[in-house]
Amino acid sequence: MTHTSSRSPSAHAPNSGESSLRLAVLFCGIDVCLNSYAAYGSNSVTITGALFRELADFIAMLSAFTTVRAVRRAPNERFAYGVGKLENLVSVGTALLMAGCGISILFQALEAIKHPRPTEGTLPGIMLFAGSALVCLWLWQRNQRALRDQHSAISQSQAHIWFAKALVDALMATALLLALRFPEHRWSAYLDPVASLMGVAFLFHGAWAMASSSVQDLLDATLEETTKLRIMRHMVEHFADYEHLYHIRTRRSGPRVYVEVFLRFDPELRIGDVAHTINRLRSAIGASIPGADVTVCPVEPSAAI
Amino acid sequence: MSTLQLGLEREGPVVVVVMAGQMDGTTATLFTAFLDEHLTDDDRCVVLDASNLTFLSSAGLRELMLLLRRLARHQAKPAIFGMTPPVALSLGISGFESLLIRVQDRASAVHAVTPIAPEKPGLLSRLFGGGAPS
Repeated sequence: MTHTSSRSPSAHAPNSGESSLRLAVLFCGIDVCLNSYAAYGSNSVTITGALFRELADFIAMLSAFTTVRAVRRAPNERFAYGVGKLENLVSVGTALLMAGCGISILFQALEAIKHPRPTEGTLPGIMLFAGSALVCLWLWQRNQRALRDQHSAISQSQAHIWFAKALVDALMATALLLALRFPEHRWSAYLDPVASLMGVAFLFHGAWAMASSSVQDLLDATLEETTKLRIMRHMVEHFADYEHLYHIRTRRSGPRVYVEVFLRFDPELRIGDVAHTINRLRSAIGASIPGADVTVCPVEPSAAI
Repeated sequence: MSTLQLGLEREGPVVVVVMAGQMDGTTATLFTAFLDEHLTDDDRCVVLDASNLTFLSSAGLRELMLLLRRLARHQAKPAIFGMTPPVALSLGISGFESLLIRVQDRASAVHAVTPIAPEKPGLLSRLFGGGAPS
């Protein structure tokens, strides 16, 4: 049995995803400091919640950055394979942390709704949210570009985080600005806890999205049925190029997707023709499943799979 | 636990395979085993009755591909009718529709796979051994 596989080269040099993460760690660190300052001078639940979120994000980014560096590091005699799953483990840990912060903010917000009070000292927080929304939008665009260059579970989850953060920050800034502008109205006292609830919703959503995809990857799950049907489509398109489809085996391992196709070819075909068909199949399947490691195995007629 | 019930009916040279239940990773191989048992090498007109087939997975499609290969040896294609929405979706995404003859009902399916009998030559053709005199 001959195995022919395609695998993207494992670079040992920093890539665009890693430089994005480095920048994110720096940005989150600064944001934590600024939020601490804003929260210290204010009684706003929204700003306190934002500090919690920033702390969770900072830890998430730092862990992701450390993981990507560990994965990139050249293998040695002690730690050669399997580090790819660190990405998923980190994502699960981060999701738990985000959920914990969400629960904490939720309790604070409910308390503030039960006993509404006017918010004070929110101006630094408003400026921070507005600035943060703009920076998050810029980082989101940067991440999208990195994703187009190289698919990665971390880069994908980061892109989601940045977009959600930009949206939440803009909403927070608007709510606090309204509360600051109309302090004489009774409803303005509710804006702060309600705005913090929106933040909680985004936090829970982000945590769920991050955990659900990472847990599935950690379980080495097979690909979902729709993706398998897309693989079958390529087999249909090349129906005339092979004699028999024995088996298609798929699985995920960390951020990677593995697809193995076992085919029988006409024994009269030249090896060059078979190799040409294999290459075309591999490229077609690889193009339709980002990050896939596709192996097409020609099987001898007598071999059983 | 998924189940797949299979039945076979013959209408002249046409074999109608009646499928009911789910054709997935656990049941798909039953399909090929059933056909191996009931189809002969001469059977080339096959109709698939998918009216009660509620699910068709990629594993099921692989088994369907074995049938397609079998018929392709005779330059034949199976016809399928009565597809439920999930089955139609699976066939659509996987592109299998192009390898099957999709028809509305059983009568059309049987008609679609029945070989057209060559026209009997008339008396004049037989007498003159070719085209009729003008």
